[in-house]
Amino acid sequence: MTMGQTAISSMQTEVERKANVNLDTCMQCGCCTGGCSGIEAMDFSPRQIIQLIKMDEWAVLLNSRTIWMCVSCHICEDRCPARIKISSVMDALRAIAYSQPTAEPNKQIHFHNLFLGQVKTFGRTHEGLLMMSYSLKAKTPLPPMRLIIDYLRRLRVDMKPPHMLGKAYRFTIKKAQEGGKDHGA
Amino acid sequence: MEMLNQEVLIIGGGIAGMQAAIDIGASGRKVVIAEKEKTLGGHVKDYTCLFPDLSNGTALVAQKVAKVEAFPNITVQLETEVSDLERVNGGFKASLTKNSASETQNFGAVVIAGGYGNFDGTKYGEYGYGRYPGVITGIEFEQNMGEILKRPVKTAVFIKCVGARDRSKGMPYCSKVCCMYTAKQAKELKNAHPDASVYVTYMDIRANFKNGEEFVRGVMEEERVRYIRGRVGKIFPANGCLTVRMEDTLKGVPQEIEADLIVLATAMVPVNSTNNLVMKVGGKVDDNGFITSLPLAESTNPMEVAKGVYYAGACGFPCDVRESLNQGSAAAAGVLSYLQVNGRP
Ligand SMILES: Cc1cc2nc3c(=O)[nH]c(=O)nc-3n(C[C@H](O)[C@H](O)[C@H](O)COP(=O)(O)OP(=O)(O)OC[C@H]3O[C@@H](n4cnc5c(N)ncnc54)[C@H](O)[C@@H]3O)c2cc1C
Ligand code: SF4
Ligand code: SF4
Repeated sequence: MTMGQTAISSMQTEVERKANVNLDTCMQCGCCTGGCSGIEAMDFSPRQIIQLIKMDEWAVLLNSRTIWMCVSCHICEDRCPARIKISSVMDALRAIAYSQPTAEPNKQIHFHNLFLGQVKTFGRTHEGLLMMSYSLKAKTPLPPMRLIIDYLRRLRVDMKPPHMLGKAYRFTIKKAQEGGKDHGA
Repeated sequence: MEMLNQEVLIIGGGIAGMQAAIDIGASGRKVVIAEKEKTLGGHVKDYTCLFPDLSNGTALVAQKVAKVEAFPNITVQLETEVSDLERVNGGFKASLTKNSASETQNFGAVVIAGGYGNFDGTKYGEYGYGRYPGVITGIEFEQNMGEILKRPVKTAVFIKCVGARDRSKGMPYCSKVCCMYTAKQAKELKNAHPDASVYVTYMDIRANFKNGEEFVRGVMEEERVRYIRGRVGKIFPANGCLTVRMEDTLKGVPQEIEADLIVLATAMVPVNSTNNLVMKVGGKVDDNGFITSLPLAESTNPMEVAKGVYYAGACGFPCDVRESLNQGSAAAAGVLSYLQVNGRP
């Protein structure tokens, strides 16, 4: 695709502000990709993500798998010769993608919401409930019966009723919600 | 008024220091070269082949040593380290330390040619230098070339910019010669093992020397050394080999290469001890730790560090042999005109 290009990228401005980085220090060396733990599941390498931000490719970035497949292991960031906080860049992109009203909610966002919702309600996730609610929400089929039986028999998935919260925890969650805007579901 | 001391001290008997000594010695003035090692020649005495013309570094050093020794007015003090330097009465007083015994001597001018150090490869834990015997540094390749070329190598990977252009390691500068020496070493390896796969991983190719571009292109086009763009992320042992993991940034995909020899093109780094001497006599070092000359508009000679003090060679910034020789001659010219003008009552 060929397109007109300006040297100003609104995406770059936004990400740099959120993550407190200067992406013009990137030398496109690929050292981040070389150490990346999630690369096999990504559609763009971390290096390409940096370039896409600089080229203001909003649509490509917000629909890319990479930003959700980053497992925040920080290896990229540890080795980046330009000292770019790449994990923070990925966080910023996820926050932007999440807050885009127009962005079509993808599976990752559904998962994110359900996961955080459970943490807030129960203080931890409940695997059984999470699995079922995710299947319903994202319209993905439940795991095959054979696996479900296996999960239950070998206690791979906890089927005890969810854990109930103490007062102190509810208070903490309330405070966190007031403070953390970007990630609050 | 008494005549100033006219003797010249040269700190470091590498290629740059020897060239300065030869040019000053030719004027008939007395020169002392203090060299902390057992022999003259610095790093270059170990290089059997120099880029870009593949001439012999050891032979070049031998020729310079013979010239130095032919001058009765040049004294070479081996295994002698200049441990202190200060200004006295318009000249300099130096402490020359040999076998932990120090003696002081006065000089009229000083050339600092203390050369460079080599980046410590163990600072990149992810490359496993010091842990895996298959991982060596560029300077080790030069120093043990005979032995290394005899190793049974099927696949070799050269990794450039190790300890250079890396702000997270506090090394932001480009070490300038490693692109060239890597091409040279890759060529040597390929000549010794024509059937081996030889890779060079790079971020950029900097061949800004006379005939440098042609040299590197030749290594790719004629020797068929394969250049892959990307900085290596990690090295780990697998299948009895070492696996190099990186992104081929031109293809845009992660890449793994199984290699039996990995050469880290380690950067040339400044030497603290020579820097301390420079600062004692009013000279400056830059943010990277290399000696800086006076601002050009304030100096009479490009190698001038402070009044009566000049530098030459890699102690100022990474440079090749030809540049070191040029700077040695330039520093000599600075010393001679300085003594001519300031040496009179
Ligand atoms: C791996 C590698 C390969 C290279 N290959 C090439 C090549 O093929 N072609 C090329 O043109 N260039 C090459 N270079 C560059 C070359 O090594 C340098 O240009 C050259 O060595 C610089 O010479 P120098 O005299 O400034 O420093 P050095 O060679 O470092 O000599 C400095 C001398 O000073 C002495 N010294 C230091 N401090 C003191 C002190 N306080 N008192 C007394 N003595 C002291 C040291 O012992 C040393 O002998 C290569 C560099 C590297 C790292
Ligand atoms: S490691 Fe850093 S400099 Fe290199 S491509 Fe990744 S973000 Fe850019
Ligand atoms: S000369 Fe080449 S290998 Fe050395 S630091 Fe510069 S770009 Fe990297």
